[in-house]
Amino acid sequence: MSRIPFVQRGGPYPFLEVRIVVTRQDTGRREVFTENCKVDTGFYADIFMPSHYQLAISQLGVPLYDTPLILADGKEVSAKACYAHVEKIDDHEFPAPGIDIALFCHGNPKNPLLGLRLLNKWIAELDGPRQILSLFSPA
Amino acid sequence: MSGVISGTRIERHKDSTATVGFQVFTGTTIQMDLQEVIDRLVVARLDDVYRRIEQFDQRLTNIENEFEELKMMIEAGGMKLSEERKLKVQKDICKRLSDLLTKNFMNKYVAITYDGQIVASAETDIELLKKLREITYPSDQIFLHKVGSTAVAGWL
Repeated sequence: MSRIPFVQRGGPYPFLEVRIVVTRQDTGRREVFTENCKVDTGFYADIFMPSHYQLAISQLGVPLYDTPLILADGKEVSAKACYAHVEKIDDHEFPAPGIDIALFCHGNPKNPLLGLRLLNKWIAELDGPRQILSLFSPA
Repeated sequence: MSGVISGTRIERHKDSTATVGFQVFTGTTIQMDLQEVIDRLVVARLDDVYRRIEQFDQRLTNIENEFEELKMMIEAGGMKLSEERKLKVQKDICKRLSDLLTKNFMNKYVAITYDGQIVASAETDIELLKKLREITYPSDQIFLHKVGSTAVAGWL
């Protein structure tokens, strides 16, 4: 691949630092989460976070909705979902207001997860031997 | 002045205001300085009060610990139960609305209230969440559903 990646990240692999923003529509107040998200291509959605993040979102006054979700072990659970944006991945900042995402919260995973649907917006290269994850803009 | 404290009769000595006589059960009278008597009584009473406070405090700590354990047990069980109950209610509502949903909203994402009203629909979950920001309905009374699928997202 001859193009230059807009994100190139070494260890820990495969992680990306993601700035996730939840905004209350009527007041414009924001809650910013800058998280080291593990890239999980099995998770078909955008961002998955532990349920304790719900508190900050609720306190901001942003509604969270019950949403059925299937976990990796096949178990069906009722997670919480809200509308959010991804403003930045590593050093790359996206044009305002960022990328629209559905943010899911449930349980207590070790790390927040970045799922396949969000990753599919770009061309991702997982260089296993060198432990480097790169993102390229689509042609 | 006279009175009975813990079975001991206390009498003020008639010649002095500063001393008192203790007529104990044996009939012996012990002369003591009034201040000393008061001090001894106060110390004895205070020791008793402190001991009782310590006992009470210990009992309160035990009750608090038991209460916390109980609370944690209830919360752990309650959360699981409420989540399972929510999923069951969601499935029941979707089953009841299945004809309407499959006819008009196949493969779409819908927001349904727990009393069975469809309040919004969209092609994607992101669009649906965006639309819901305009709807003034309590968010805890709404759940999301993807028509024709068991879950909205996850490890599918």
